[in-house]
Amino acid sequence: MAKQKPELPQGTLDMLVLKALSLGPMHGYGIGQRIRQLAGDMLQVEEGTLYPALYRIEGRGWIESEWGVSGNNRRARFYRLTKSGRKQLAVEESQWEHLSVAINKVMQAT
Amino acid sequence: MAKLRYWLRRVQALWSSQRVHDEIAEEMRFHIEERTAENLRCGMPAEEALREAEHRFGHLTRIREQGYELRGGGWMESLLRDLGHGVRLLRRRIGFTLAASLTLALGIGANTAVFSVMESVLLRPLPYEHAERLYVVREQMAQQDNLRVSGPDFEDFSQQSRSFEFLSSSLPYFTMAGAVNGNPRTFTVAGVDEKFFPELGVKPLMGRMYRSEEYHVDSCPMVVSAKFWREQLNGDPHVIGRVFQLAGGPCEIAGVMPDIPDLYPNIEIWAKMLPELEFMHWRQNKFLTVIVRLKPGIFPQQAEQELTRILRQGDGQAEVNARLLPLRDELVGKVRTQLIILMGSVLLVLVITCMNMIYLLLARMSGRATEVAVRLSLGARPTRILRQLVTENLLLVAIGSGLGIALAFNLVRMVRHYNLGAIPRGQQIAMNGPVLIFSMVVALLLSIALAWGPYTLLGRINIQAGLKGGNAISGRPRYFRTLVLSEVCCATVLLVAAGLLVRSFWMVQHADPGFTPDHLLTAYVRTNYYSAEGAAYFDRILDLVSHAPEVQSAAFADCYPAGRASTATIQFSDRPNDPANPASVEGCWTSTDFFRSIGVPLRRGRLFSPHDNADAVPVVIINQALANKYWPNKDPLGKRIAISYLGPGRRNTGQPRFREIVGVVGDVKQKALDLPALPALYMPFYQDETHHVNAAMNLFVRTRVDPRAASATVRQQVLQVNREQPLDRMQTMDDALFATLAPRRFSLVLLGSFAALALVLCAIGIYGTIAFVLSQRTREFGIRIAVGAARTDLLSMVLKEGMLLVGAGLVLGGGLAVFFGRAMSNLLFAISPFDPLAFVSAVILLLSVAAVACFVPAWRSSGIDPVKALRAE
Repeated sequence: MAKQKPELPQGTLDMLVLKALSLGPMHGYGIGQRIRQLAGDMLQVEEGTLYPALYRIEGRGWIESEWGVSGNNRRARFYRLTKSGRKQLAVEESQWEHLSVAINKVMQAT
Repeated sequence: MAKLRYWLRRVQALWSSQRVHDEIAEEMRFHIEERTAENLRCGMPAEEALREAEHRFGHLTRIREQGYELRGGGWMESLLRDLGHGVRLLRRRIGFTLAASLTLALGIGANTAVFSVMESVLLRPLPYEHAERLYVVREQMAQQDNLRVSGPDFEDFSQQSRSFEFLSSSLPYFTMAGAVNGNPRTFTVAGVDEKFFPELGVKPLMGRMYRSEEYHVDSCPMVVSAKFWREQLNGDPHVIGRVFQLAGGPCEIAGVMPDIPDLYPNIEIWAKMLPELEFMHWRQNKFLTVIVRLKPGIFPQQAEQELTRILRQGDGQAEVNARLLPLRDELVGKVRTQLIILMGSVLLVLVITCMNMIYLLLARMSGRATEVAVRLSLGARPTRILRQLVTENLLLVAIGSGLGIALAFNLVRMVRHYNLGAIPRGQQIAMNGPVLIFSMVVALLLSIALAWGPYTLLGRINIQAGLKGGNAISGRPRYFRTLVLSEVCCATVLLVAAGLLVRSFWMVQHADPGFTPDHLLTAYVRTNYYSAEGAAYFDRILDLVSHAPEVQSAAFADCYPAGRASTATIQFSDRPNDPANPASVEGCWTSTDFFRSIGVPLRRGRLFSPHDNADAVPVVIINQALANKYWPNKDPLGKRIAISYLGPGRRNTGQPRFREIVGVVGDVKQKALDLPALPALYMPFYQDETHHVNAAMNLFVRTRVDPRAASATVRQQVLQVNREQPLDRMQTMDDALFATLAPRRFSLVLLGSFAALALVLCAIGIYGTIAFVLSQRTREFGIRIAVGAARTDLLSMVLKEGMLLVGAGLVLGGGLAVFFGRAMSNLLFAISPFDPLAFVSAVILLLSVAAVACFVPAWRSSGIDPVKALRAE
């Protein structure tokens, strides 16, 4: 198993969580799974950073949570993207685009 | 929107915090179970699956705490908890809480009350349309400022001026006799013209105001005021058309106008100004109150210049100027200084209150220094402790503010209800929005000041010393010097100010009024006789009244000593007269026994006798001031002067006739006790050449017994002459003089109370400070005593330090008091703002109180047992 998983900066984790939720509401465990699947196993979010991130994002009003029933009929807390969350996701996406292009340019200089 | 829901949930968490904890735990558990299931699917053995799942979470407690921080009550919860703590703490130390809250309540309450009065009277705009453009017109001529306007002048203004939206003339506060429901009364009347109420934007409450043509007819119907309607007619809903007796005949009511207490309080009847009456055509007869409303965009100076130009076109008015005064200033200007001084004084009291509060709290904080040191050493965050301490202080401020506002409300209500101080616009005094904002600002400032205490405390905590149980605060706070210095300074200013007012009041009370006010009963007699038959009527009354056994003598006069007098102009026979600039004096029509009845001494010549009647040579008696002004060092007896008597209602025969001066009497304070006596003359009303006798006269009765006891007899005698004669304002002269001093007394009582309060607070502050500082020095004293210092040595050391501070405060305060005294000079009478007696007594009082406040704690500390002191680590 990859022990050398890269450290995700805090802002980036927020963006990933928002993106994951843009595909549909999910509980905390499921969000971690979804991100791992989408990244093709190249990324694994630590629980220790996921939940604080979720709570923090909830405080900013970008996601909402409520109790629901999971796939196997158990009570779980589901998170959902809000309207402002959707806007925030778009903002962060474009910022990330801009940033990654810039960094790539620098790194490809010979 | 989502954010709102988020915060609502957090508020809910305030009372269901356990549920939030449980939910977070459940969420974590769900995650762990899912992970465990996943691990099992991957083939891990059962217990390793669970362990691995939990291990991935890392510090579960931490995450749960973080979750609660973001989902739970957060700062709201800790605030509530701090408040709960604070309340419990205050309840435990109920003595301290009471002392602190009362101190705060007094400071905030007094300030709010005084500001309330100031706001209602000085700051609040008048409740009339475009009140900021309302002005009063006054004329100024030679030595006379502040003259009113005459009928012809007003005509000229109305026709020629272009600067105003409205011009109105009015004549407030004359009287008419009549009866309501069979009870004879004298009514307070104001005459107004057509434009008066429209200018103010006031519409009738019921019925109507006069029609244009009615302003030229001297007859009923009449418009009455809301006050009349409420008090005389009991608010009768069918008031329109009701009939009452006025000036001898029936009069029906055409309308009811609302009261205008800011401008003319206590009016009962709104009568018409009739421009056709004779005295309205007389240009020198300046008695009209003219109120104007400037057109927008026109400056008062422009309007003044225009009016001056118009005035100067009149005969003999080449040197007359017009002046425009803002209406509000005209109404309240004379109490402005008084109220500002009161506001300044009460702010000084607030400073002292604040300082005492800070001291109280600091002293208490020091008591808790050990507790705070322990908490800090256990890892508490300083900001958290600070927040808790500040919350406790805020709680005190909140309690104090609540009590203070309640106090202020009642004080303000008392001032309004009892008309304390006879303040203009007094009926409008009330607490309102701006005042509440003011007291909240005061409370806020106090809170900030009180928060400073805990802040500095935290900076000084010596954790080691605190944990060992010793003195946890390092260093001696320099704050306490500032406290003593500033409190003594403020108290000095207040004591000096109070002393100045006390001295002024004493001077006024002991000033010679020029007559003998004791055993003098007065009343207002309003008749319907406007010509010589009035003389016979008054004589009949005097005859009956003076023959009553309790009565020594009785007289009538149209002036009222220390109250009011009319103006007269003189033409001399022995020198040239300038018609544009006539000599103006006070004038009074009297009956024969006037001087004897009110007790004015004769200086030269003779008093009036029964021979001075309509057929005899016309005579006049002048006062000493008049004699000194126009015949200095000469004998005025035998000289002849002609007198024109001014005012509404007078008639004019064209050429006033010359009278012979037959006597000189002592000066009487004619207008007020604290105004100097002006030149004045007196004439017997039987000799009025215009055959007009005033319809209204004041009755003066010198009694042999207590004048109050004689009042029933006097009334009886008057009613014997005419059963329907209203007899108003029956009071003793002493009571009347007492009432004229009401504003002075008001300031004196208030300022005196503030000074007394300041003195007490200051004493408490000094005592407490010294006691507290000394308690920090118990070890030091123990050592000193142990190495041989005598008790008196310690005593004098402490006293010296203390009194040095007090002395410095006195000097500073004395300097400030000089400025304060200068600012007050309008309120002072016959003393200078540097009156030595006031200053010296203030200093002595403060020094003695401060000395005692220093001595007691010093005595107690210097007598400690050295062994005990040294042992108390």
